[in-house]
Amino acid sequence: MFQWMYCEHFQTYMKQFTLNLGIELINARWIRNMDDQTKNQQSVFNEPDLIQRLMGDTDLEKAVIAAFLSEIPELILQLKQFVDAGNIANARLQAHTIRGAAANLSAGNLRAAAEQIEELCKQDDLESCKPGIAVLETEFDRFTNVIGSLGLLHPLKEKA
Amino acid sequence: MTVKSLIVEDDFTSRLIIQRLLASYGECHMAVNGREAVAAFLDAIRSDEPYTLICLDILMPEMDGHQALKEIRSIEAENGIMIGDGVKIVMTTALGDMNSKLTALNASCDAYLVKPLDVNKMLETLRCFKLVD
Repeated sequence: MFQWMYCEHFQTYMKQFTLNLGIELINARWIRNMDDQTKNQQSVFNEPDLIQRLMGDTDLEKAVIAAFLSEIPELILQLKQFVDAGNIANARLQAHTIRGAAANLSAGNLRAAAEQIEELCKQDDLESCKPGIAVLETEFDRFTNVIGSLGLLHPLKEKA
Repeated sequence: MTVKSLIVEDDFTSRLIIQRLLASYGECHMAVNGREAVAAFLDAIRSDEPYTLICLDILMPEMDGHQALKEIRSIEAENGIMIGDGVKIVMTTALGDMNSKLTALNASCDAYLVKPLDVNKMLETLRCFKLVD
């Protein structure tokens, strides 16, 4: 995916485009060669993508996962409360926050579920948000299960 | 060069990722919405210890990033700081649509990074600004 940014140095601008395109091509080829189970797991949590974006910092990975696991249940609860109260504006903001956090954690399915709720809020369709929240909760449970299967469920306890 | 930065994010994981990168280069402050960001920016200007860099989310409660960006540039103009000489502002947001990008550009942001956050891209952005080696 092309992500542009202003930069005074033209060479760096071009390099960023080429680097992004290269990474996309490599990921596409790599994902095509994976088996279905791996693909399914990667759509829930793509750890290689997360590690790459954090430049291989596994300590940061653990800290971010711990923060995410701690933060998301409360955010989903607040989202439910906003939807139940008919507060579309805050529901949209909350869904957007969950979407951004899930994107940061390479939790693709969770990100997509949050984005769907955000779109429904933009369309003033609060009723459809309720089943959407059930999907969000299911995807968070799946994310937690995958994290657990990778031994990352209590990432900060390893240091103790 | 020391980078005094302000991270404006309502999401804890985003604050954590950005702060881990920027803490290596200098003082890091946090704000969770645009209103806090503008207040912190104004306070820094008045103390004669301005920020070098602001990482600014867009959709936030109380005041969004677009509004905060306008107000920060307005404060700079009132203090005689020309466009281009002020604080470097990087939008860090999940909004990847062209409209959001153009809105931010027209309000004089310096870069626009779409989430998921990528430490490498952020570092490259800082190098473009010549804030880090």
